[in-house]
Amino acid sequence: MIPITLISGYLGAGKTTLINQLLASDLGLRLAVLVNDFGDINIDAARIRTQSDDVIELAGGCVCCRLSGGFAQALSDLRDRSPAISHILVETSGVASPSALADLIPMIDGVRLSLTAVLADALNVEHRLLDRYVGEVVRAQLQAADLVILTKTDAIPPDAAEACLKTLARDFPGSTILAASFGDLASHLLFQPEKAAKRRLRCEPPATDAHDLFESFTLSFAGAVDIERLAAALARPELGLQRAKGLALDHHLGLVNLDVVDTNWLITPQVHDPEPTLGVVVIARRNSGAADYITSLRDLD
Amino acid sequence: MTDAVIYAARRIHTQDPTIGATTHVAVRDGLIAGVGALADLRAIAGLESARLDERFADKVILPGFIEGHAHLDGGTVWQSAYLGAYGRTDPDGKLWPGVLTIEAVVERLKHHLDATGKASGWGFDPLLIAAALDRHDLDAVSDVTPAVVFHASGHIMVCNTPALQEAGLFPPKSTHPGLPLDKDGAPIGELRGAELMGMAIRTARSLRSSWTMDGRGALPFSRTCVRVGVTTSTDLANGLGETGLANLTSVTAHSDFPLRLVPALMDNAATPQALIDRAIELRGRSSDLLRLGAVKIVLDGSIQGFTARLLNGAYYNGAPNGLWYQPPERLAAVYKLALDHGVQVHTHTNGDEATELALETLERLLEGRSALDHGFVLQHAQLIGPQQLQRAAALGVQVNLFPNHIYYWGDAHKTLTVGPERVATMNPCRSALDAGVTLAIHSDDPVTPIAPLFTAWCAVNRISSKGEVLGPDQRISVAEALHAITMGAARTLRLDTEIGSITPGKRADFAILEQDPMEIDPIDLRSIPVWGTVSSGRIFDAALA
Repeated sequence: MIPITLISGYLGAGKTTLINQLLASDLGLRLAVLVNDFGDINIDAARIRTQSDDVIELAGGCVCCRLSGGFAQALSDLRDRSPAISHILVETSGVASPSALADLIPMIDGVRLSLTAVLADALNVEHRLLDRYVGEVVRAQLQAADLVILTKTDAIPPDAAEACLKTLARDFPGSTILAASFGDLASHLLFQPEKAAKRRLRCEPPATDAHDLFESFTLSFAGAVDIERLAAALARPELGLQRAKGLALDHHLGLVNLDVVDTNWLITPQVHDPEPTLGVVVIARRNSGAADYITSLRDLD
Repeated sequence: MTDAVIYAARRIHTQDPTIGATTHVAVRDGLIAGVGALADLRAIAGLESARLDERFADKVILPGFIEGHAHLDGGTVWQSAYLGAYGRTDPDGKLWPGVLTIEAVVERLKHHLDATGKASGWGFDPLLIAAALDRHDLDAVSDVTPAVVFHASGHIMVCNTPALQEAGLFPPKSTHPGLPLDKDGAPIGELRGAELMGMAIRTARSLRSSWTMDGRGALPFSRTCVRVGVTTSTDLANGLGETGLANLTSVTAHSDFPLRLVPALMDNAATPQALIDRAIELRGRSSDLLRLGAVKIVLDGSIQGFTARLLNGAYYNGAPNGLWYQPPERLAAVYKLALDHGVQVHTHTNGDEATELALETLERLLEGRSALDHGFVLQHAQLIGPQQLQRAAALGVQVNLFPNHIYYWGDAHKTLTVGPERVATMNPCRSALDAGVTLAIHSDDPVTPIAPLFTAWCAVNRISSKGEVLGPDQRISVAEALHAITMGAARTLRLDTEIGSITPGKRADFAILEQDPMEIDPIDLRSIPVWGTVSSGRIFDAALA
């Protein structure tokens, strides 16, 4: 079953920028990207192997497809490609609700919905939510999200970004909410998070007070750790972790990036860093007990 | 210069207020050389000895009718079986009686199997048949090859078991809100909504080559136009790719092609800039019978499909507000570039919230601009309110309303979609004229049949198919309705200096009628026989079309 990530969000939220980033980075995956139009897709000409009206094939096995004959048809065409596609990203229309496409995916053989990610522009998402014409469209998109990614947070003061994050966390308690400036988005979108995390989060009552919803602290290690054990510990469902990311030294792998989004984790080797700053930043729900537990993980080294 | 011909008629309603009604019109080189009494024409230099042609001496001549909103699909759709509840005439002139039972639907499909034993049909309307069509019914057409039927709304298709199997929906891999199941958990055969219908798109395509509009529909469509007196029609909207454009260019260049075609470029371009650039390029590739350069943008869905955007937020039956098909930012970007480059925009709005957005956007963009000759048209605008019409007038916005809805769906609009109060002001032709807005009226063929005299009848009488008058205050006079299907529509296409009235110097485009619409009882307007048309001076007999 090929996993599918839906990338939704209102016009201008950064969907195309994100897709361009993913296409430009060499992730070692055979990635397929399904877009409404090639218009703003930016691909280095040297990487294009073949190109037709509806399909661009890139060196390394990635493909970019235009949605012309319908969503279901495009997905089954991608599913049948050889060699096999490892992950499909779908960019949805700016005024569409991702749930219509999410409903359709289970009807199609050989693919499964991995994640619905909805991008929100930190500059104006709160304003958009109040817009007389499209407010409810933006609301419906965010409500359908497993993961909300707040983009352009670097364009506003940090406390404003933090406030925006908290407002979204309060209003959309069913979703995991991240700020894009936390780092490389590819890992969130591609390492196949499981839907269980979303269901668990959705069972929680909405927070009544947006303040102090999260706490954040840094885990630092004197020496090498067992990175897989650390990752698995951080990703325990009962922990309710929001996000962990950082650099660590593994006994066997050497210097690695660790990335955890609720119950999912990804380890990637880090190269070319003569002076690495070791440490993992953790964001968890306040009073979840996560802090105490995580602090005990310092023994892992 | 070729020799002029003077046609005599029982009466000519010129739609030119300075001329009014008269008896003779002179034609030379496809243009109107003069109009008036025979003696007046003989006094014009060059017409002294022009041949007098009396073939229309007992007919009534009007300017060729102009259909401001139709689709070439109205020609190609006839490749599949017509399954509507009303009788309808195909491009060959054959009248297909309405089908009123499921048995009749199955029977007609059985006579429409293609060479491989597949069948497809269109126009099925469960609201009017009061019966559901399901998989088992269509299995009776064929249980080994696919058969599909499209509902009149266009939002639902029904598949037989082989068609469901081919689409990978039988048995279904999962439940889906658009795939209703029977008590045994098997699909009843209906696919609801564009997403699910897309699952069967390959099957549907193999059954119906008109799915992609490529210009081949122009010939059968033009034959239908001759039968209903239409000499100019839009194709609103068309992707106008190079292949489709080449087809249209070659079809319309034929000396016996009877129709001036005005396609609008569909906004599915990558960017607003790309859209407007293409529109400007197309403008330079027009000919007399193929007029390019306008664009079409769709803001919301349909009222009977509950996808139009309403200002009060909810439908009469409680259905939630509809869908935006374009974000407001896209609309503003297209409008701005179009204003900058003199490109005309046709905007599909059905609900009054979509109309509000269009007006508000244009109000903002026109601030500080002096010229209001942008020619922007709201297409359908079925729920436009009186205050919105006042603003449209102030902004130079024109409306092309859809009174055929009052007849075909008026009863459903009263009980389901908008309720009894709002159906009375739906498609408010009276308010539009009172506000001073340029008014055209249309069929949206193949959604409803193209026939401007029928559309005029709807605007004049506002009678639903059940026989109820819905909104008598919004009725207009026969003269006003005739203006809407000639000069009014010409203005909405920015062709009013060339067509729309029988005025010297304009194209010799005429509708030739057997009765005088100004003399008959307005309730009989739709029944006036059409002899045929004259298109740029060329005569087309409907009996030979």
